[in-house]
Amino acid sequence: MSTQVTATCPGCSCLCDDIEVVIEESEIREVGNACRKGASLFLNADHPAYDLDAAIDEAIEILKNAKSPAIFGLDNTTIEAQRIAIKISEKLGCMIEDYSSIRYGDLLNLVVSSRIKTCTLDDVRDRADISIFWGSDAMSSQPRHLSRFSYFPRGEHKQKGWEFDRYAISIDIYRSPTAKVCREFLKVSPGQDPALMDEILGILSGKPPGSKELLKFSNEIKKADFGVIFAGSGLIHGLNRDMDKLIWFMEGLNEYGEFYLIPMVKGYNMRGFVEMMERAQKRIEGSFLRALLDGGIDAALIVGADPMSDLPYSLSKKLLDIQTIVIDPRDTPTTEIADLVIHTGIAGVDNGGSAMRMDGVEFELVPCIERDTPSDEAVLTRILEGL
Amino acid sequence: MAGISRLIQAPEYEIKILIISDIFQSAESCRGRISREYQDLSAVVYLDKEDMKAWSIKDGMNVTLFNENGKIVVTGRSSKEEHRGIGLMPPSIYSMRLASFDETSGAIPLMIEARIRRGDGEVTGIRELCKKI
Repeated sequence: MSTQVTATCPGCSCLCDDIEVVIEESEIREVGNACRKGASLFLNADHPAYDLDAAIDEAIEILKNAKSPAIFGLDNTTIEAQRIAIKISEKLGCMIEDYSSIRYGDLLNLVVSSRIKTCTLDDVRDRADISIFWGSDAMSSQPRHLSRFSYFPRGEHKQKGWEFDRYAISIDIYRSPTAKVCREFLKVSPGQDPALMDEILGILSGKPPGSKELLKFSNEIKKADFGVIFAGSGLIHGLNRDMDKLIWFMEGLNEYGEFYLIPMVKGYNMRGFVEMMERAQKRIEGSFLRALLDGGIDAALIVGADPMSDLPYSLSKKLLDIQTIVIDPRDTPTTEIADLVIHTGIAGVDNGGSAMRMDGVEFELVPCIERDTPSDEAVLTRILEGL
Repeated sequence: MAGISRLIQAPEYEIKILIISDIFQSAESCRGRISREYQDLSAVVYLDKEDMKAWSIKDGMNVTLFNENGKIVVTGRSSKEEHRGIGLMPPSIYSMRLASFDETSGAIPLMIEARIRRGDGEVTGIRELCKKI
């Protein structure tokens, strides 16, 4: 006999909450409404059996014996697990960091502290006239973003959808899958994003445009009552991490209409980690990467991250010299080199918890199958207790 | 000897590697990042058609990418888009082998300067890249 449940997908920071999962004999048989990544995530949730008690004891031992441990990752785990990880860092008096500042500079802190105006994806669906994908490729990283929120849907005040009510543009250094779907594509040379911002605000204030494309784009900005920039890591690189320039540009746009920015974060709960650190009044002290490079860490607790695949080799090779504990549902190059691997369940599939969408809206992740695979939260709680 | 072997090697060309997201590789990563399928989707560089013609690289041919940070052998694939002088690679242990860390900003680059040449053996295995050189 099969049952059908509606689940929330932790495949990316859209946290799609309309996933239809068909379960038969405690196995997921079919997945509906999900993107390619979401479907793969639900259909491949399978974990090897191992001695959990022994693994947790070993993790506690490694952390107790370490002189300068650090905690890293945490963008792909639940809010509950992030809170416990923060407590472990306090207990150990050690560094804790995710990828947010590495990939997006100070952008998330500026958004969370309201120095850059932001809105929810529901506001976007209901009101946005113009969606600007700047250095972000939603079609590859958050595949249902355009269909659920930013371009195709009919929102409360946008009943005519993308055909008449909405304009979408991709600004990038290459024609990405998102650029192919958007109405317009504006190619920017690497590092020329600040100059493009100058030119756009210049045209809006009456200066002659450098191209027809820019004139058209500027006219769309002028017409818009409500616009959103979906900022990706490409924009942060293009600005050479100059957040003052971005703040200046956003203020300039807001002279012509309501303009907001939503960071297109990659980890499904990166926004959650930044918010949890803010709520715990905890600032990231030092840099995990710098400490790794300088030999300032002798043990790393890595949760839901794969630094061997995400960091340049000059940094990741340093992980081979220190004790590493990896908590992750899957096998990765980092689990391959780890001293200790603790395989956990996937939130929203095997385990429960909550997470924050890219726009800061919190969602509950309800497990859709019953398995005895431990959650990140359960493993971290036991490690905290053991310490 | 080293000079002679260098002379008989395929010619090298400058290339910029742009790290881009790929939904197919990302979906495969849900099954883990060690499998052959994940390797096939990660150990790949998408090249401009005109560049491939100029560099005598055929679709599906193995190519060597290298710079001062390391060397990898990946599969060269023909891109549907025009991006002269730029190769597109998904984020993975492969692209990170060529990336350098910007110590001043603390950023990991999206664009990497490297060199490319035809051939040089089998595609580098993921487990091989996990070992310390």
